[in-house]
Amino acid sequence: MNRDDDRLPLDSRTQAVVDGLPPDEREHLQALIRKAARHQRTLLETALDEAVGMVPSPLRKRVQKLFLGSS
Amino acid sequence: MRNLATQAELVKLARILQTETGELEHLDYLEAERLRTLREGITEALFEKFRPTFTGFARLSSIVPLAMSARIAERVLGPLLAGRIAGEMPPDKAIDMAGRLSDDFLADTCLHIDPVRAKPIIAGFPVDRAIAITRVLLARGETITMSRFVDVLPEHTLFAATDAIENESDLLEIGFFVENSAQLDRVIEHLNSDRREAIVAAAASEQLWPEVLATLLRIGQDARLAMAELAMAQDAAILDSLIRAAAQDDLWPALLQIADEMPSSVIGTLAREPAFADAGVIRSVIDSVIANDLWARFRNQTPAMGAERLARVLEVAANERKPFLWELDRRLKADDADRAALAEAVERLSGETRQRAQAACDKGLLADTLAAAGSSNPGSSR
Repeated sequence: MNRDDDRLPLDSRTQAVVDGLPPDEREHLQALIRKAARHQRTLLETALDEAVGMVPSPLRKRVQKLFLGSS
Repeated sequence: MRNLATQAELVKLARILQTETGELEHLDYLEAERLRTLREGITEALFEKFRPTFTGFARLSSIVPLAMSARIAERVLGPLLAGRIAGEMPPDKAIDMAGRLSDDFLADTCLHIDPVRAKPIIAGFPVDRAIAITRVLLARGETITMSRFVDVLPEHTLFAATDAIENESDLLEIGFFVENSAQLDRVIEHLNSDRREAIVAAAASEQLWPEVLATLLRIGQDARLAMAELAMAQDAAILDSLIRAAAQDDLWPALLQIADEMPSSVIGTLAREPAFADAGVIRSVIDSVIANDLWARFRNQTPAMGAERLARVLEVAANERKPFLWELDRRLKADDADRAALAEAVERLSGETRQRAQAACDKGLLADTLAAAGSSNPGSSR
C-alpha cells in the first residue's frame, strides 16, 4: 500500500455539508476524517502483513496477488 | 422535543470516524438528515479509498480454508475491518465463516457493518445466531446498532428478534431509530395486544412519549390508529403522563395530527383527565396552537372537549393568553362547527372572566357571544 496522503475524496452531497460548516468546525471535522482514514490504513497494512504470514507458504503468492493494486 | 435522531446520528458518525461522540458535539445543531448524509458519504469514501484491500480480504475466503479465514478475521482483522469487509464477501462464504466465529465477535462486528451493503448476508443468516447476537447487543445497550439491522432484516428474523426482546422500552428505543417505517408496520402488526399495551405502559413509565409519538407519525396509518386507539383506552395514570409529556415537550402538534385522523376524539379523551385543567397544560396547548398554526386541527377537537374544559381554556386565555382570544375571535364564523361548543363554554365563565375575555377579543362573533352571555346571565360564576 502506498503511504499517500490521508485525504478522502467525498461525493458532492457530503462535501456540500462539510463546506457549509463554519471554518473552525469544518477544520475539526476534516481533521477527524483524515485521522479515521489514517487509522484505517494502518489497520489494513498491519492486517495484510499478519494475514499473509498466517497462510501456508504454498498459498502466499496467490494471497499476495489478491492485494495487488491496494492503495 | 428532544432531538434524539440527531444524537443517534452523532453516535453513528463517531463510530465511523473511530472517535468519541463528544468530539462531534459541535455538530449537534445539524439536522439528523444532514448528519446522515455526512455519515454515509464518509463511510463510502473510507471504503472506496481502500477498496482493493477490502476486496482482497473478501476474496481471501475463497482460496484458504474456512477455519483459517475465521482465524484471520478474529485475530488479525478485528471487528472494525471484518465489518467493513463482510459486505464484499460472497454471502454464503460470509455466513459459513460466521458459523465459526463467537457471538461476542459477531456482535462487535455488527457495530461496523453497513447493513445495506451486507443485506444478502443478513437475508440468509441463521435465525438462531441472529437471536443470540441480538441478545448480546441488547445486553450492551446497542439499540442504535440494532435499529440499523431492523431496516434490512427478513421478516422471519425480524419477528424472532422482536420476540426475543422482552423489555418493551427496548423495543421502543430501537423502533425510534429505525429508518424503514415499513419494517415498523410489520413489527406492530406482529405484536399481540398484550405487548402493544405493554409498549404504551412503557412509554408512560419510561417517559418515552416523544419517541413514541415521533415513531407513530412515521408508520402507516392503520398501525398508527391502532396504537393511538390503544393508548387512549389506557387508565388515568397513563393518560396523565401523556398530557404532562405533551405540555413539557410540546407534543401537541403530533397529538393534534393523530387526532385529526382518528374517528374518536383524542383531545376529547385527554380533556376529561384532571391534568388537562392545569393552567400550565392549557398554556402549553394555546402556545403550541399559536406557534405552529394549529388552529384548524385544534378547533376540530374543541366540540369533543366538553363545555367545562373549553371554558377552562377560555378562562386561562382571558387571564394569561389574550392574543389567543383575539385570533379565535377573528377566525370564528357563523357556521363554524365549534361555535355552539364555544357558546356553551362561554355560559360557564364568571362575569369577570367574560369581561376580560371580551376585552381581549376583536369585534367578532366570540366577542358577541361573550357580550350576549353577559347580558342574559350577568351573575353566573364558576
